[in-house]
Amino acid sequence: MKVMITCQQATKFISQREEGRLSIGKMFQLWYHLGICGICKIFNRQNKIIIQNAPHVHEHINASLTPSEKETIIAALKNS
Amino acid sequence: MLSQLNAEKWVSDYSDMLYRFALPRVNDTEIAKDLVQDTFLAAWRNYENFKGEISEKNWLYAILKNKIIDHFRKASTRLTDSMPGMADEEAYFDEAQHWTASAAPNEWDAGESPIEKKEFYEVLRKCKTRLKKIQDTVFTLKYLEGLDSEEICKELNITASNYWVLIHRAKLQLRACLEKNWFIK
Repeated sequence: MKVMITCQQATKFISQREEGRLSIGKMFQLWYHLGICGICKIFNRQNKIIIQNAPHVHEHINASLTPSEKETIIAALKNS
Repeated sequence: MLSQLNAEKWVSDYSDMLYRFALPRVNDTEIAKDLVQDTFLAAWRNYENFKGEISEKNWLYAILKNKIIDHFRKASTRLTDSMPGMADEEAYFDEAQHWTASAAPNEWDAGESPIEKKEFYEVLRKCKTRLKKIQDTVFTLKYLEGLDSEEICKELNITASNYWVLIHRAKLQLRACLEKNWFIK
C-alpha cells in the first residue's frame, strides 16, 4: 500500500471518513497526509466549521411570509 | 375534528418558522412557499393522526422534511442532467492532484469566532445558491437533513461514485466561496 496520497484524494477521504467509510489503510494514509500537508490540514478544519454549522442556517434567517400569503394559506385550509 | 383547529392561529404560530426552514434548503422562495402550504394542508387533513407524542411544532417540521425530500426526489431527473465531471475539480488541483496556488485554502481569521456572527450564515446560504443545483441538493440532504450517502443515492437515483464527486465538489466550492466572501476582508 502506498503511504502517500494526493491532496485531491485526501480531501475526498475527509468526506468519506465522516460516514465511517474509510478502511484502516485509507485512514492511515489520510492521517499521514494531514501530518505533512499544512494546506489539507486547513481544509480539514474549515470543512468541520462548514458541516457543523450548515444545519443551523435556517435559525439565522429573518425571511417571513407576507400577510396576504398567510391569508392564502388560511383560505386553503378552510376550503380543504 | 376541525372545529378544534384554528387555521389563523396555526398559520400565525408556525408559517414563518416553516418558511425559514424550507428556504435555505430549496433556495427558491416560490417553492418554499408551496412546500409550507402543502405542509399545512397535509397536517390539517391528517390531524386525527397527530398523537401528541411530539409537539405540534415538531410534527409540522417532520411533515415539511418529508415534503422537501419528495421535492428533491421529483426534481432529481432534471438535476442529474447537469452532473459535473471530474474536470470541474481542475480549478482546485494541478496535474499532480495537489492544490493549485490560487485555490489553496488560507487560514481564516481565528481571532474572532465566525460562527457567532449572523453574517456567516447569510454568506453560507448565498454560497449554497451558487452551487450547481444537483450539488446543492446533495449537500442539503447530507448536511442539513442528515441523510447518509446510501439514502441520498436512492432518493436521487444516482450512483455512489456520482455522489462522492458531487459532495466533494460542493465542499470545495463552498469553502472557497466562504473564504472569498466572508473571511478575507
